[in-house]
Amino acid sequence: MKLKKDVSKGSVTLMVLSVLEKQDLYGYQMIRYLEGLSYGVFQFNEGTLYPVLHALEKDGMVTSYWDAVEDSRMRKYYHITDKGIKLLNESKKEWEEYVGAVNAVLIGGALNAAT
Amino acid sequence: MQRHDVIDDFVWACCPKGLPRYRREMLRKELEAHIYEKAEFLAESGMNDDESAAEAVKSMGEPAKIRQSFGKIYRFERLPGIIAFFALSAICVLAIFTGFLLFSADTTSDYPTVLHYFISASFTGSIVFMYIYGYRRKNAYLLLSVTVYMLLNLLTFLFTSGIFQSVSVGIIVMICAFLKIPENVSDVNHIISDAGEAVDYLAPVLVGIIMLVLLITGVILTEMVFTETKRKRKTKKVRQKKPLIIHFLLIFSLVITSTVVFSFASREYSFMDSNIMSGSIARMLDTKKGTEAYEELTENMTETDVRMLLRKYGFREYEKEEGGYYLPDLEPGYSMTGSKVFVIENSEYAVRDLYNDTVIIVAFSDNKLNYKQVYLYNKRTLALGIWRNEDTAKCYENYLTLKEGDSREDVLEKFPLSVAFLETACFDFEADAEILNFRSEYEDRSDYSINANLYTDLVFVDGKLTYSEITGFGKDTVYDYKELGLNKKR
Repeated sequence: MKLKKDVSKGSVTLMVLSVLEKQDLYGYQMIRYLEGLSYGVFQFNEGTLYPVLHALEKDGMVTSYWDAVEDSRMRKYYHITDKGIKLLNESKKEWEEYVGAVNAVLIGGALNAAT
Repeated sequence: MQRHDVIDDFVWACCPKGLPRYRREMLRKELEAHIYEKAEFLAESGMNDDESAAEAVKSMGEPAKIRQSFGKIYRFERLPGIIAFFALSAICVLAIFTGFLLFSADTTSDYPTVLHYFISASFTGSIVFMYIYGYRRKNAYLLLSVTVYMLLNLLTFLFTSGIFQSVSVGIIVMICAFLKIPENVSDVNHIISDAGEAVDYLAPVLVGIIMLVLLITGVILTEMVFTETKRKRKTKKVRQKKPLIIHFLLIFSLVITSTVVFSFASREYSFMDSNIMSGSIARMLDTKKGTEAYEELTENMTETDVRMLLRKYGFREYEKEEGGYYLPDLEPGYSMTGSKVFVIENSEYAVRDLYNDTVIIVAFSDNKLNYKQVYLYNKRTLALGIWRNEDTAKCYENYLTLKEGDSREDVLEKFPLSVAFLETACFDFEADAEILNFRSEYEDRSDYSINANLYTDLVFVDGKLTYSEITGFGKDTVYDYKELGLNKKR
């Protein structure tokens, strides 16, 4: 199953912060990383990632720096800040509550159908 | 991987217009790095260059959506770009305005009218053309040249027409007036004189500073708005010739023509004299002093005393020109037989149509003052077309409230400067009668056929109102004189 097109901004933010918690990444790398982690389920319109990253940077959730690679190409890496980690933890909690609630409804619905 | 126009075009389509240069560059570099890396990845998997570039661009999504998202995030950073756009538009309007000045300048001068119109039309047309062309082609250098040219034009015009000096002196004098430094007209004269000299010395420096600030601002704004020029040059790998020499030659030639054209234009259009504002402020004092001088003239003062008094108030007796003085009409019925009449003026700041003379007429019989009259030709307070007496209707309303026997003080309170100004005041010591004439005026400077005047004559005997009369004339779209019953001509 593939979730195409734009994923909602909130979940993208959560995923971005989540992958940045582990290591600093640049945009393209982040896309590949997310695709890999989700077994290809999340396929972004890749361009939509950058406004999300810039909004996070503007809000102080992440910082960025440029770094050169072997072929002298410049890449912009993003680094999560303490503020970003705090937001990530809050978002994770909210997400777990949300998923729990959805699951409860789904399971409840399944039980009702069974009875 | 070689550069692809499709990638470059996409990247620039993602960058909101009006963002500062560094921001656009940053966005461009980041998106470009992403797409090229993706394209290389696709190329490695078997696609050819063009296909991989197209596919990489496709995977990014709609550029309009990305642009909108960036635009929202950096919306406040777009403000300078918007300001720059309007600033450039303002320069364009200025070009049209100056072209209009040239076009409408006095055609009675000694050059052919056709050439005059040709020059003015060419001037306006070329500036506007250069702007539109420069803007559409995103040619920052051309726009910058024209901007510098127009700024120089503006400064030349301000400087040579005296507006700059008069405003500077006016500000200094106003500050002095606010601080109550001048105590009399003589002080004001000194202040104006000193301020004028200071401004003359400082003007080139001030102009230089203003010029520099405007130039730097112009360069920054132009660079911020028109970054595409450099991008296109880089993309096409065309080595751009350094335009510095051409650029400076262009500016230099524009400066020369600017100076010539605007020196000429400002001479034709020297409607602002350097003394206007400073003189206007001094006149505010003159008016008061003129009235005070008139009040202090008492019966039986000797000729010497009168002259000394008037000199104290800044008046001076002009040498009699051939043909004699222009004598304002004395009041009917007053006999000048046997009297020695002097006309003494204070008209230091007379400028073109800005009346400012204060004329006092005194008559002596046996070396004793027996008649005095003052004409206060102080029609306007500050220059720049501000009229002092616009409320002619109010003048009429106040007139209706007058009653015979009202005290002089009470009556005069009803005719403050905002309503009418004291145009003439006469005192006939023989009859012990003072005749004051107030004038309230409205005139539309854009159409001199529209004007309206009210004259209020008041006669006081022994400080009490004994006679009053109001008359009006003029055609006016604002005030209906028929309604006021004032349609008779004076």
